[in-house]
Amino acid sequence: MIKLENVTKVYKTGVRALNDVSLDIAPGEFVYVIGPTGAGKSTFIKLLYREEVATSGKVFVDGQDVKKIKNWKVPYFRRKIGVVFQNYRLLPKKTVFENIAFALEVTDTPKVEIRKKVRRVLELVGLEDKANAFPHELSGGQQQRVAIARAIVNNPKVLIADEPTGNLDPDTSKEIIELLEKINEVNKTTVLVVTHDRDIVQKYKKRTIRIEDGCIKTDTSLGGYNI
Amino acid sequence: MMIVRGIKNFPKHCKTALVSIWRNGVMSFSSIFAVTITLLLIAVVMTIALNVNKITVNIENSLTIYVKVDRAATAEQSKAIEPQLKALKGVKDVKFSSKDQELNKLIASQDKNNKKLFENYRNDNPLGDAYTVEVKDVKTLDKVAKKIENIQYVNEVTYGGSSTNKLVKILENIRNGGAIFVVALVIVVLFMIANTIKMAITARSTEIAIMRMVGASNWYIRIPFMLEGAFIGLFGAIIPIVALRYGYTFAYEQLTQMMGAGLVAFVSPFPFVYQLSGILLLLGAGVGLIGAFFSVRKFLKL
Repeated sequence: MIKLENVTKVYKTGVRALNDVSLDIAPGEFVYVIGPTGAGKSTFIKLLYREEVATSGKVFVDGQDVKKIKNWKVPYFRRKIGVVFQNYRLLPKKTVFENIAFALEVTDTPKVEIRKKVRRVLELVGLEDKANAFPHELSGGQQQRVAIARAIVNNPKVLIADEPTGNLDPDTSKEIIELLEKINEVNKTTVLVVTHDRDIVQKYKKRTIRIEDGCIKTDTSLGGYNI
Repeated sequence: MMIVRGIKNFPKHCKTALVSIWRNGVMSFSSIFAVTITLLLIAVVMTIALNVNKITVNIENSLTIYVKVDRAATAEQSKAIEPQLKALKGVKDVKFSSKDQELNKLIASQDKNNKKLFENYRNDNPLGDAYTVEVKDVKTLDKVAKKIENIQYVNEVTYGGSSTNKLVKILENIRNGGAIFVVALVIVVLFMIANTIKMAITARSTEIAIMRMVGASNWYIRIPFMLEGAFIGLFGAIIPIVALRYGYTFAYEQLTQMMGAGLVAFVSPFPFVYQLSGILLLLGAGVGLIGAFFSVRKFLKL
């Protein structure tokens, strides 16, 4: 599903964020990406949803060479990928329902179908009763659920979560990870979680990739933070 | 497919644009106000420039060369001048006026007492025949006049001399200056609208980022902003158009009354007001569209 071949990314400022990285993530996998701040984790995921383009090497997502996608086609490519951020990034003036429906509206989904899909996804994240609430009326955990719902509502092949629990307390964090696990199992979506959270990585053991100084330090399916 | 989708989504995009104008109240209002001021200025300058142009053309058309024929010339000799005048380069039209006609004109221009006095000349007309020569381009007035002086039996040539040339030049400068000013103002409006829209868009960069994140195509993001720019331009044109409609009609009536009929005739308000209104609407909307297009582009770059 995701494949990197000798990928190097050097920013215009001269910062070498990734250095000759190669890895392979199969469809339906659940992967943690860990490592200290500034190690290149963010660059790694930005290359996946083509916010950035690799300086050298190749990045494949769903069999597509990301570098070869023309600028104007990027939006269509992004529909295959759901992204969740630490700060949720919800539209403050839209209700929960509208926020999720937004992702379908831009892809010209018929209204009836939008309603069906949004309801189904709200059920999946456990927020059926909050459809008409505004983001500021929700707790952090609930807002993150809405963000996840928006990310998965058009059935992407890959779900990328960038520090999804960064702003949440430990209990809520666990709920969010369990939700991501559920999405991974139910929808067979490939899930990539970038995180700092030791407890989570220790508790929910999955394949863990540690990035340090732009290189993959360890990559193990045993899981756990200290490996 | 893209076009069909675009048309299908058009009402939705329009609604988004109008809602956005409404929600960004103060910002939208300041943009509309900026457009209003500039369009007002453009309307005023264009009105003045077009009127100056009309007056200039009137004056230029009335500039002619007056040719007096020598009294000693016989009728045939006098008549022989006409083809020579017509043969000159740059001459548009030649009108003959016999010495009797000249006297009639002279008498008609006098007041009552003098009229009787001049009537005495009927028997022994001291005037000669005359020609009025129109030229194609007033700038060549003096050159043509000089050539006419050399024709046999021509006694005197009058055309206003160098002062006429100066007047023609001044009028031309006013016209060119007006045109440059209008172009400069259009550019100013473009930057003003672009800038205000840029501010409005910067305030909503997160919204654009999210739209891009969920896979909205560039045009899907761009169109509502462009429509917003167009609406701002259209709303900004309302006051200038109303002001033009009533202001110009009023000014026209007043000035025409003051000047009377003559050389200084102004452009009549209809259909002029409607034409200029159309131009203002197009200008506002067009500039809004283009300004928004360039402002959003920055946020869509990868």
